[in-house]
Amino acid sequence: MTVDVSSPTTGDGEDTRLAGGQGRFGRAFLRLRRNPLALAAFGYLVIVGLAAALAPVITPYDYAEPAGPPLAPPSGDHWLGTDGLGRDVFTRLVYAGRVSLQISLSVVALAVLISVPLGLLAGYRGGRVDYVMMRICDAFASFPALILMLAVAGILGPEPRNTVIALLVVVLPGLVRIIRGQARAVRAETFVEASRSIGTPDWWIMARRVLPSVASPVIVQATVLLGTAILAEAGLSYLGLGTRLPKPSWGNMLREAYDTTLFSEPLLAVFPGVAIALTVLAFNTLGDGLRDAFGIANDGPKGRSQRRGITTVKVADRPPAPARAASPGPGAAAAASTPDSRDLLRVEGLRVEFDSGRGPVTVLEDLDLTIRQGEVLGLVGESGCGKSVTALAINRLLPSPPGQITAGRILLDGVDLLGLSLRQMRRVRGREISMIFQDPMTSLDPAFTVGHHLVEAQRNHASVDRATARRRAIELLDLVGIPAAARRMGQFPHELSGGMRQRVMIAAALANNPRLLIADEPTTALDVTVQAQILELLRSLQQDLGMAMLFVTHDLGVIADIADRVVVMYAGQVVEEAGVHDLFARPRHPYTRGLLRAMPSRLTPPGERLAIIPGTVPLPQAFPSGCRFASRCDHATADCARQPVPLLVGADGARVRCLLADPSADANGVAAAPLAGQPRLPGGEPFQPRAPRLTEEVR
Amino acid sequence: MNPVRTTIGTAQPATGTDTAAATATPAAAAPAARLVNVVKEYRLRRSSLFGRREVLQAVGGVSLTIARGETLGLVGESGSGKSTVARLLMRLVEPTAGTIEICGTDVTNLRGRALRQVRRNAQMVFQDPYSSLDPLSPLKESIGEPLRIHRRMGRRARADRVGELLAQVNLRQQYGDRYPNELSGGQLQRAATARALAAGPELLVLDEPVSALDVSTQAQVINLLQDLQEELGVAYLFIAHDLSVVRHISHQIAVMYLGRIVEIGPADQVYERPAHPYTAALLSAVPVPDPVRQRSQTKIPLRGDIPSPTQPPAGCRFHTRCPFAMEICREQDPPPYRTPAGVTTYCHLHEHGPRLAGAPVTALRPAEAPAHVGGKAAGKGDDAA
Amino acid sequence: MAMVPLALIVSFAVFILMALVPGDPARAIAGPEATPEAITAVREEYHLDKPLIVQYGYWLRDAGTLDLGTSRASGEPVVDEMAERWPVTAGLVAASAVVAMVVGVPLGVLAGIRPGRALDNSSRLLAGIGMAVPNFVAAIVLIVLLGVQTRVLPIRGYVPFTQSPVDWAYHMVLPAVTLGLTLAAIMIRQLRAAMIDTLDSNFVRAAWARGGSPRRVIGQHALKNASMPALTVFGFSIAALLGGTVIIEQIFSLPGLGPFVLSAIIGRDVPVVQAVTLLFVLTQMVVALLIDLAYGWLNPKVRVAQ
Repeated sequence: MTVDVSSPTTGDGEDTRLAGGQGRFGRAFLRLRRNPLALAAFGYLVIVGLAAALAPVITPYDYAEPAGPPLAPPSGDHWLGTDGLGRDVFTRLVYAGRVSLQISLSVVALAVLISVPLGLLAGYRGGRVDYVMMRICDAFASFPALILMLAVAGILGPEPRNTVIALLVVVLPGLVRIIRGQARAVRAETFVEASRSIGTPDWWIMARRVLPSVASPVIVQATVLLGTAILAEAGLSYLGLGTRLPKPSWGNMLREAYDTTLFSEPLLAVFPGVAIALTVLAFNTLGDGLRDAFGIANDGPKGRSQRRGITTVKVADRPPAPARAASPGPGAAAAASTPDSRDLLRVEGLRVEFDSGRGPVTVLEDLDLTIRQGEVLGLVGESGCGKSVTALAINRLLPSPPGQITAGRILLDGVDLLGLSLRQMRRVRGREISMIFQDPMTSLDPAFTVGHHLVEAQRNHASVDRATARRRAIELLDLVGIPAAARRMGQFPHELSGGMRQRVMIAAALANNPRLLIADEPTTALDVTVQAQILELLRSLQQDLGMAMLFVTHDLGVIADIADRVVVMYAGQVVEEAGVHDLFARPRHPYTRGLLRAMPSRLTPPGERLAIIPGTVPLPQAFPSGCRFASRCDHATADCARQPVPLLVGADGARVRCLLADPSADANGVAAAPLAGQPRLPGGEPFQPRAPRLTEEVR
Repeated sequence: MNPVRTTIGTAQPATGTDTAAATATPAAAAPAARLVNVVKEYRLRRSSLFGRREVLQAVGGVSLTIARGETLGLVGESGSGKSTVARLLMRLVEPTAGTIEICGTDVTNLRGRALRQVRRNAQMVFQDPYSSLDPLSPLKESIGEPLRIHRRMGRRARADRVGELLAQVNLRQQYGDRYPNELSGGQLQRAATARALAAGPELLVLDEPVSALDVSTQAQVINLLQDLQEELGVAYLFIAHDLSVVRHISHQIAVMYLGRIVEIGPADQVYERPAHPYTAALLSAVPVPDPVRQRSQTKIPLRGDIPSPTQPPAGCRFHTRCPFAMEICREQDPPPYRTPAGVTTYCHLHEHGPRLAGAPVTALRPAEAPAHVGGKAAGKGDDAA
Repeated sequence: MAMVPLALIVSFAVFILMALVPGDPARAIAGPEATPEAITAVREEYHLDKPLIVQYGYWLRDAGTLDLGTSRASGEPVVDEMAERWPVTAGLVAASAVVAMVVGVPLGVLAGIRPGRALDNSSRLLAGIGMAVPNFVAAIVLIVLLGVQTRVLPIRGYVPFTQSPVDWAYHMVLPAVTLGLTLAAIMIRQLRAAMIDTLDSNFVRAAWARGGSPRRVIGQHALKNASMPALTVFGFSIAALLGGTVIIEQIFSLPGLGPFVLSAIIGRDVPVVQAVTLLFVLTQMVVALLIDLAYGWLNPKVRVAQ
């Protein structure tokens, strides 16, 4: 089952594939360099660290001895003034930083040293070891950390070593748990199983496969923990259980100021307070920056978020809705010339761009297609060709950012959907145009019952009362072949099988008798026997209800089963369009023919090599300007790569985007050689695989 | 018709001199792998404090043999236990019962070092090419891992061998320095194949190796696998849900349903003359990329979904979905039936009811099927649970 | 049910605290001037001559009958003094939790709906500050600004809720805000991240595709799913709030358990430390249980598994 792994719905996963061979730390460093906030935090921490390390060099005073008159205001001699005993505040602040940093660095270093092996062991091994360790961590987690820390520090006595132990007791369980969780996640990855299947010893896998994978989260966590340790040490010292006077720490300086001069000289309390807050803030900010740089967190769409729930349209000069004025491209010109009263939905010159973080990338270009009333239009192509983007764009469901529609029109009854507001669009969605999706498990809200979904689908569009909506919902469930419909109403999605869930999705889509159903790979996640049931169901519903369907899939077999007309997409463009029988009997585009030949069929002799299409689909960032298939095409000439190839329209309405093809020809020229299920061309064998071509000349 | 088929049971020269080292080679003629009555059960967590501890039987007594240099295709839907069979064979999961042999060595109870030694004879390629290679290591490091573990090769020797392996799977040499996220799915799957071949195995376990790939890249990998088998004489356990791909590459096909093999035999027989209704249904459910044939083909409709493996139906496990189910199917587990063409199937239809006696199930007309099929209910679902 | 072993481990850990105290506990109880006979008597009375595990058994039995020993400082039964001080601490924790919810939930949700907008940036700034500023620093800043400079809010003192809810609330504002600030920051971050993830999910897309309004899609589907992880974090944070009362009650001179346990820690008054810790731990566990129940309502998958 092909999953659209590389479909450009997220801008980010793509550009890493292009980035040259640097390791993850190199990439993370580059990304961190573009994060001014994290850089500022890092700079501040370097300064604090240097000041702490070089304390005796940068300040002439002693932290414990009076250096001037008490409570002197800031001056050239005493940058931050003096405290109640005449000690230089700046000096004490610097030395206090030294104490804080020393303690937190020791705590975090020890915590990492102890928790990494423990966490790896618990996470990788699982079983009893894991169970016991996790119960101990649970127990620690239910203690109020501060009390535990105070108790340990109080009982052991205020020594720096004991402060470290007290902090360690508090931070260790959490860190072990995090590392264990990461290790467990990595262990579930196939590459760890692959190493085990090779026969690699466990210790080697833990050291070389699991450890590097947990390294980045550990680095992030350690950075944040440094801040936590600073906070905790300050708290202990503030309560008199950490660093003891006269040795300064930010916590006990604050306590001293609070006890003595809070109301007369509040500044003396402010300095250590600010020092603590800034340092912790810096560690947290750096931690967040690292998390982003390592790509661990989903920090939301990059760039300013637009309105939720509708794709942004930025068309330079969009003509007023009903008018059919200047056509956006050569293909559209051809298509627009044959309007038809049976046309339900017309997409003209559609262009979709994704913001990749390094400027916009065009993933869909000059796309035209027409869906007539009551017909099934198949939209087929490999992952990354833009077929799902097309399906989502029609209902304006692509998230913005990163997606954006930058050209074209989508006409439903002559109304351009690209001109509608969210409020107007809502009256189209689920009523005129319904959708079902690839993954029926995640497409139903796990927190709501089946009945809720079906009732909601009706009440979004009509003010029906709950009882009526419930009755209709049960009818719908019955319609899509769900037995014991009334009982299913109260069930939750996870209580249903995959096939049942997809039936529920279909029922919800049909609730308002839509004129068009967009089915985006609706059977890809299902088993073949269940797929057969769902296809059968969709076909009969489509015929009974007379609705049109846009059926998106990568599977030519499914297309052969259900489509009336087929549009083939490649690399963000339509490359061919024809009636279903015509397409399979006489594929005109070399890509379509390549696909058909690459599939083993009943007629392929076993053991025979399959015909192949060399190379791989280009990424949207690297779409060639000429024919996008030229580099993989056996017939390509120098002309093909020179300039964009227009979509040519034949007399029968078939379209093909190939310089060598004559769209109206039957058995003429390269592109029109009949295929008709024959594995090989009669006579010459232009598509015979040649071993050397297997290497990627494309890349 | 295929020259390789004549070599069943005979010794293969294998890849080189290294096989002798790992095992005592009890018999060079031993099959590449053999499973005898292998069972795998998982004990599930109690549903409540006083609830019954449920047992999930992922594999319920599977026996099969993979001859040297041959391909056994293993077909089934999700929950059929086909991936568990692969993992059992690789000893990635512990069998509950049964015997597992690899190249004649009983590996059922091997552990630790001895097990790792044997593993070099059987290597695996996984379904998802994007996650089966360590994203943090360059390809050459991943491909070289078996060489390091099993051959203790030095850096220089390893680099040379990795170069050869890359060439063998038609990847350019520079790719050794690339990271997995810089390659396409098809390229990654070839790299994973190179890694599996590195230790010079007798058997490759291929768990849905092309399912995650696009059609155009799928063909590249399938051709490569066939080339490699011819060149190296390595045997395959090829797992897939796509019957046409399995038929194309396999010598033998085994069809699994709910943890059991329902039919096993020569590929063309199973594919052309299915002796088990499930095989026939599966075959008719796979859409063919030919509108004329796809729309005219008689389909054998199955009701509902696969039942839960925690509560497999009594009798024949398929009876809840079988369009031809009879009374006996609900009560008795069908015994193996060997057809004249050499196919072993587990179905009462051959000795009871219509008494097919080895004839293909497709000979039965829908009319002969019990009444509960047909009409608009053809696509009607029915949860067996 | 899983709580029983946890409670045992925790109570043993609490008990063990005593064993960590350096020196002879019997001598400490009997006082510095006690005769060797008196010390032996104390040792027998408190079962200090028995193995540790036996001592734990005695302690557990006594704890079961709400006998948590007597304070070594005051000689009073620990339970009596705790009963008096507990309402203060519980009230403070509840008030802080409310502050955290009132501030954290709307900001986190709105920030997650429109990341990159002004509201998002300011909530993130607030969250950053809330995570970085220790509550005692925040308390001191607020005392100086609101209590001393402008005198709008009282900076010390306590009025029982039963006496005057309004005065209670008035005196609770500053302590609750300072204590709740960190949790509010955590809630903002959690909810923001959860909203972003959930709004990306397939079922939200499907809800838009059915023609759902923002109120229904965001307010119903996204919010309910996003609140699950936030709720978990909220439950875990109750322990942190309880711990935080030690400092906050000390600063604002509230007669709760904080100052009581703090002086006990400094004075190594073990029975008091044990008793208060046990109370805090049990409170945390009860809250966790309530959260679990709420989780079952939010997430039907969990409900079935239970």
